[in-house]
Amino acid sequence: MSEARRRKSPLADDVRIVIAGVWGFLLQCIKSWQTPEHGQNDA
Amino acid sequence: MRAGDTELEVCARITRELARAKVQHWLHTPYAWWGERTRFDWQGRWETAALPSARRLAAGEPFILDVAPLVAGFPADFAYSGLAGAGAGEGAATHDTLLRELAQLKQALLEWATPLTRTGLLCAQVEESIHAAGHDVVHTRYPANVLGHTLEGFPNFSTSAPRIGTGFQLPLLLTYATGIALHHLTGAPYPFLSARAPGRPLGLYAVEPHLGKARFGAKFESVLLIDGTETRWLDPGLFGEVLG
Repeated sequence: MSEARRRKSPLADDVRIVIAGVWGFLLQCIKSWQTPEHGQNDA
Repeated sequence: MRAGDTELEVCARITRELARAKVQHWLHTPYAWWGERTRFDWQGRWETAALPSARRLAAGEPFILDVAPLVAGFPADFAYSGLAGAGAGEGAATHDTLLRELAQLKQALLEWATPLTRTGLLCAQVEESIHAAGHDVVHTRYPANVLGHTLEGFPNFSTSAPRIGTGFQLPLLLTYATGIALHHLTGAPYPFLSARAPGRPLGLYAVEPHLGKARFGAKFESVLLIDGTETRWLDPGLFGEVLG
């Protein structure tokens, strides 16, 4: 692979990272709202 | 830290203390992992499994704390590994071994992390070192499999976003999604240190090697400055005072 091509991360991998991040964030929000104890974390 | 505390209770305590220091925004709210949870051998998604739980800390068990507050839009991101009280059991022996390896790694990273090194090779070198010591690599189980992430580009449009629930927050998600987009659109530096990352490390990073051995894990997370003339930790000790 050329030096120039190595300078960029594979686009498909990064799209997957972003989608997984958004999906994980949504699931995390749902879980933390469904768990009353997480309310204790609120300052 | 006291035996009998739950992860939720300790995270609430950390949050209260940081609120007294005027922290209102977060890259991520406090995480706390006790005992076997320190090595992330859980089922399901990291983001939900990693949230603080009602598990109670037992005497002699290892634990990890990790928090990333924003102050005036500027991030901090530090993690600490410890043991609940003095212990002489399996947990204490494993914990001591892991802390010795983490201390060696922290020192070695000063030589390995330079703008002349490829990021992918740097991460591979860290993983090889951990394996050579007979330990497991745990940081590759984090989202995006990262050894570290940039702390450049703060404050930005997202850093005053309100807290939503617990765990990763919008400033983290939006900052790194934007960083990835800019990497592809403009050739900006890749925001993560990972085995598949292109380019070479340069700038300010939160670096978080995480090791596992037997039933337990340990990590540190500290801020590393890599520039053309020097590489240095803001807190040179394993879990040391930040010198600036």
